[in-house]
Amino acid sequence: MNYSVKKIVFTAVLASLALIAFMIESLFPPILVPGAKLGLSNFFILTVLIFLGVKEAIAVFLIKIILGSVFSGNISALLYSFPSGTVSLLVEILLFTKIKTSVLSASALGAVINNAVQLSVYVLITNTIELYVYLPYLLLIGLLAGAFNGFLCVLISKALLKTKNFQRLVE
Amino acid sequence: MVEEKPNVKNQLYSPKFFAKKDVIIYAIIAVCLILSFILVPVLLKTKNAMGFSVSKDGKTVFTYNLLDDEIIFSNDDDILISKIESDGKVKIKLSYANGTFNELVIDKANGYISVNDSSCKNSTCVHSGKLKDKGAILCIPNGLKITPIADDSLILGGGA
Repeated sequence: MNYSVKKIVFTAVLASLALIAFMIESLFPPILVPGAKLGLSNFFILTVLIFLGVKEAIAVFLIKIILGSVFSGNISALLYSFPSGTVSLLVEILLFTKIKTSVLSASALGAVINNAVQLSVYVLITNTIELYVYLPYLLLIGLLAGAFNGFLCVLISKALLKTKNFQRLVE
Repeated sequence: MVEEKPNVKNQLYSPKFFAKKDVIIYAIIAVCLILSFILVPVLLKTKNAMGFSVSKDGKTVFTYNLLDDEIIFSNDDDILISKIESDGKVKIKLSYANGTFNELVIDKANGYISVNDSSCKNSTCVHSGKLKDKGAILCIPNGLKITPIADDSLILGGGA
């Protein structure tokens, strides 16, 4: 699959889906612990990583995170989400493409690292080390959310590959 | 329409739920999780927690001593403070100059403090729940910070 219209469209569609998932999720209050969420948009980034490649996954990530913070009117959130998102995406790419783990475990570790980095940035900015009490819960939620996204990604990828239209798209 | 191809040739990846090297990844996650659950509560617990300190933009607004049931306000003209006491609970509303506010509730019997209401958009402080002897409640938009304080710091900072 070269740089074709198909590829650009596929990337764009998944980027907008990731953005929509991100926007819908930001409407809900956090799960149990401040800042905790499912991170469903990561599912779309993983799908891009599987079918399109590393560069496209990074592009979708950047689109999601920059436009997401612009649309939600919370640009200062980039301060927390950008470093953590970058680190976790790089870890996921490294695990998946170089170390050859499954997307499920890559996503799980990525989410755990994302939460740890994000909390650390938050602690640094607010100068409140006490906030690390949330660390165990955020790691656990990261594991569950990451594994869920990874699981969903494998499940849907398998299903997609069985459909002939999709096979033509990826080729 | 003619080009029906049953096999995907350029497929980057055949998705799998499990790969051998996953074991290492899950082991790393498990170790981090277990260590954090064991170490974090021990390391961050405020010893002899006797009350709370509430500050805005780095300046102390008031401290509350659970033992003496005493609230020591610091003089700050920019913050309007109203205090209502009922059923062993103290409700303290802090109204700031720009129209924003935080409403705190201190549960005397159980030694908890929580944020009941806030003018900020996300209300992260309200969702933060109760604070006793470890952790902190922050309201970033209003610059509010609530932390537990230990016995000796109360004696130092207090003064009737």
